[in-house]
Amino acid sequence: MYRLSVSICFLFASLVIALFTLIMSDTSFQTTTDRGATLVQDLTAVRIWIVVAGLALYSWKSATNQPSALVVTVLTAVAWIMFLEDYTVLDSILFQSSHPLAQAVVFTRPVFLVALTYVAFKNGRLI
Amino acid sequence: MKDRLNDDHLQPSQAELDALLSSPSLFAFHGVRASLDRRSPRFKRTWLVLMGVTALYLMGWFTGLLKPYHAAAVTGLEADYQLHQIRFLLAFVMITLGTIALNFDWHVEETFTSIAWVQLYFLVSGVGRQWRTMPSENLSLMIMYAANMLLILTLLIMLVVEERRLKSTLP
Repeated sequence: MYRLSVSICFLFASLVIALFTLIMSDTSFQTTTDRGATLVQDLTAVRIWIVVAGLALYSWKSATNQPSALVVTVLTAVAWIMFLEDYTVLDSILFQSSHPLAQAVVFTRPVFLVALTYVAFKNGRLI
Repeated sequence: MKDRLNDDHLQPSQAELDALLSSPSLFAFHGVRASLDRRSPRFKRTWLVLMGVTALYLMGWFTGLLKPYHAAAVTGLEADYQLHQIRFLLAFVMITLGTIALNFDWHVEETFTSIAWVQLYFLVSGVGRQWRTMPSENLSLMIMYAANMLLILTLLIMLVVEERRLKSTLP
């Protein structure tokens, strides 16, 4: 179960990185307003670095057998906050996700959050 | 007779009973004051300043003094205003979590470390957003915003450092 959860987290991170690369290279992604577009770009640009840094840090800690409980806890808190921001605030201005990759990110996000929370609890030995 | 012998055999020794009774429970309410008393004066002062900043922010927000200094006032975008609202709420949820952690003296360092990282996310994404959207004459506004966020982040880092120092001194 733990390994499956970690795999889900890695899969989601890969999807997000691929989607970000697509958004940067493809101009077909549309938002409802121009200002909305800049807001999405601003937030995505910050978030992609969090995903990359989190992925790199967790991989490095796992590879060197260092405790990763705190790193995963911090990433879980940030991930839930981003989710909350997106679904309570930015829902109306985010792009219409017609692209399969964008749909895959939206669809797997709740699963990713549950998996990440499980990994955090398991790392903290609370379950 | 046989049952009584079995009962005696199963009865825990005094040493075992003492060990069971002295084991600390997972959650034990201490109260913030008792928890602060066990910590360094710097931790105590930092916590009080953090609470003071929070109270000042609340006063500034509800009196409307802070409204012209928000990103939404310059960009006019509803999403910026809503984003501030949700972050405002999250900040108070985090303060509550920090207070609960202190009350129960449970994972204080981990709680404040997580809060500090979330604050860093707010700082970076907020300043990045203002940098792109603010007109150049509003640079002072952005500096004030960044200074405010940096102050809170510094206070949180000080709490983490002090808690780590306390942990290292404990046997």
